[in-house]
Amino acid sequence: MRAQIAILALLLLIPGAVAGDRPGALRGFSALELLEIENTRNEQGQKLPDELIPDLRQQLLHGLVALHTFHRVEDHVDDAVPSAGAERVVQLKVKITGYSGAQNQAGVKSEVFLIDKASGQEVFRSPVNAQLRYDQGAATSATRKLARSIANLVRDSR
Amino acid sequence: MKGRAILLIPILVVLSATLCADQKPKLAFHNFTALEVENFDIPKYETKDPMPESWLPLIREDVVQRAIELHLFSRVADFKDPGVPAPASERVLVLRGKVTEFTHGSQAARVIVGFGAGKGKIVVLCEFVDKATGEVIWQRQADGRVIGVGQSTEGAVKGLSKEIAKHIRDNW
Repeated sequence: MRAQIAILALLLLIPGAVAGDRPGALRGFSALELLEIENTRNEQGQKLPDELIPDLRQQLLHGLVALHTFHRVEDHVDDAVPSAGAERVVQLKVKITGYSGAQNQAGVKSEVFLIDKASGQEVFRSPVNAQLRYDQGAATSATRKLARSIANLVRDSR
Repeated sequence: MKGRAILLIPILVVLSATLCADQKPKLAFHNFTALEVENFDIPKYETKDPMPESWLPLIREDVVQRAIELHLFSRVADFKDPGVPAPASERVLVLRGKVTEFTHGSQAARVIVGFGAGKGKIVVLCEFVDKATGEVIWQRQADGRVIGVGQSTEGAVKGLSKEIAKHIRDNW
């Protein structure tokens, strides 16, 4: 009987641990600020071309605003989302950790951090990768896919 | 008749040796400790199709990445290779290039027709320059192509950077 209870407890605990407390982790935050995207060479010398970063940032902001889940994203106030009293800000930090180079199956790897601005505490972090397949275009498409994947991560964490 | 043919052989040997000597850089690349890669030039209206300017950083970064993977230079762009000992003084080789040929091709043709139809191609005339003196050490053409089914033209960048890296290794 005790063993069954232990197994049941484990089963209940495991999904939470695997998800990294993600679902609902951003509930209560009414504004999102995007910190500067970090793009330094990794140990293998891989780095996304710096010229792609402003475009990636723009795509990411666009994707985050399109979620309509925050009253404010950077300096954009979303009238579709009602303001809930005092503003609570979550900061999104993206660190590019790998880039395959321009090729047919381009890929970009990143580590995403969500930080409570008021306390400075990390709410959660998660690796987000964008890997293109045969039928998809190029490195520039990989950054678009990465922006979409990060926005989806934020959406799934509300 | 046989004697003439015998005479021709050494002439041909000397000629080919001269041509090969021309293809070698004025200074072997191992004399340099760092490599810097500049964005290539795209002369307007000189190529069959206009190459998107947004590809230039992709090409530059791909070449840098391939050069890093060679582990020959102690520094490539802003990456200091921990596997290569740092020199007492740095001598920099600069890679410049000019896109001389660009064909965007057609992915649809590559998929539907195949057999090389709709192929994409980038050809670059590369210049390796001694940064200190400004002297062109070596000039060589390199190209990248996309022929296969379901491949984007941007994939040609990979072939191009691989060929440039091969030239660097061969002239080390």
